Amino acid sequence: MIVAAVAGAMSAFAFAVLIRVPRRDLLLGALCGLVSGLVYSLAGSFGPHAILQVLVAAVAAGALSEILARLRRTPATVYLMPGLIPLVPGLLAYHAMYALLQGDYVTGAAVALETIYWAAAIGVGVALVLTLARSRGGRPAGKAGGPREE
Amino acid sequence: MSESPLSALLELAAALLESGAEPYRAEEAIERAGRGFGLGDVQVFVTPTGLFVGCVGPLGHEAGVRRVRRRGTDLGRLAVLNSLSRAAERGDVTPPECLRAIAALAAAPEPYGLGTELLAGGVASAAYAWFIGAPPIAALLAALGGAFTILMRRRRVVYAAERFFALAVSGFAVGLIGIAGSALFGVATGMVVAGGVVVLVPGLALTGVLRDLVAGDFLSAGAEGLEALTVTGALAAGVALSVAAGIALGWSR
Repeated sequence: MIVAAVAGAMSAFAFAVLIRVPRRDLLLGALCGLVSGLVYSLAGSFGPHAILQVLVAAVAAGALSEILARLRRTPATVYLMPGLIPLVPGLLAYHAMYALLQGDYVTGAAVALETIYWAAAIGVGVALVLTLARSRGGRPAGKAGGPREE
Repeated sequence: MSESPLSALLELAAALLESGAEPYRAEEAIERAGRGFGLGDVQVFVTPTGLFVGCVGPLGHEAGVRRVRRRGTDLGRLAVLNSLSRAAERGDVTPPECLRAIAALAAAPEPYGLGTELLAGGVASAAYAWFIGAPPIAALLAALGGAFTILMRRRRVVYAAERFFALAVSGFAVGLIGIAGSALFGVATGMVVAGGVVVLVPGLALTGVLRDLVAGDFLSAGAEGLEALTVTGALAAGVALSVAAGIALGWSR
């Protein structure tokens, strides 16, 4: 669990540099990675179910980046992209490719489908938060609640 | 170049796309800035690789097209451009000022040097490998792969075909490191490969696709989805080439 949090934060921080997040926001990006790694791992302790774990972690990362975006008046993307890095289904994608290379098409197709589910869980989790944030925040900036960057 | 409000809108949206903004963000920025510039009936249509803007300006009905060929991810720049569109909406920025700000941003030096980026590529890959349960040796090899992929990315890539090739070469090299690790140290090739290529995952494509689908922007959603598939496919093609060799030699696990 501690490993998940630390590794999540480290990978998010380094990835934030790669996508040129400004220096002042790097640590907050790392915080998003820490939270998504921690939530992923915590959710697993209730009974491992990778897709659900990813969904919950993506919702957490999305919510945190929306909050940070409002506080810092900067697009949520700046925090969200680093925050999602620990959740990328890289190993699954590799296993799918490996099985296909060996001519094991049944396993390959099954694992590829799992990879797609996994990726969709990230997307759905984030889209959920995004939609909620929009419906509450409202589009017209400069009205009640003050202007906000998104 | 003309300093009309329309060209400011076109430049703004193109700069946003080149920084890695999602099409909907570019559309919103144009609508905001267009209001601020006092244009009427601003119509905008943005795809990841190009955009159209039409409006009613001082000279009557005007329209413009911009093609966007080079896209990267620079969230610092994206944030600045986003704020610029809001400043334009408030009337704090005139079209010529907006154009100058965009040009200054394009001329600004990159925020992190090559050394920093290579280090970051290594750390991101190693930490990701650690996260998915790789032993220290595999994480170290993943770091090597990550640094190499960043070196490939750093080259100024002009044509899309060249980008595809660079991605495939990165995948191939990371696959080689993976099977070497498997042959020499007995580590799982997959951990090394997944760590090494994670720094190139097609950024926001995934959430962007879903967002666009829900919003009914089917063309953008399709284009972004295809882009993500192409990037993944190029990486996978490279990895497959080296890993297939590893399998044939009995080195890959």
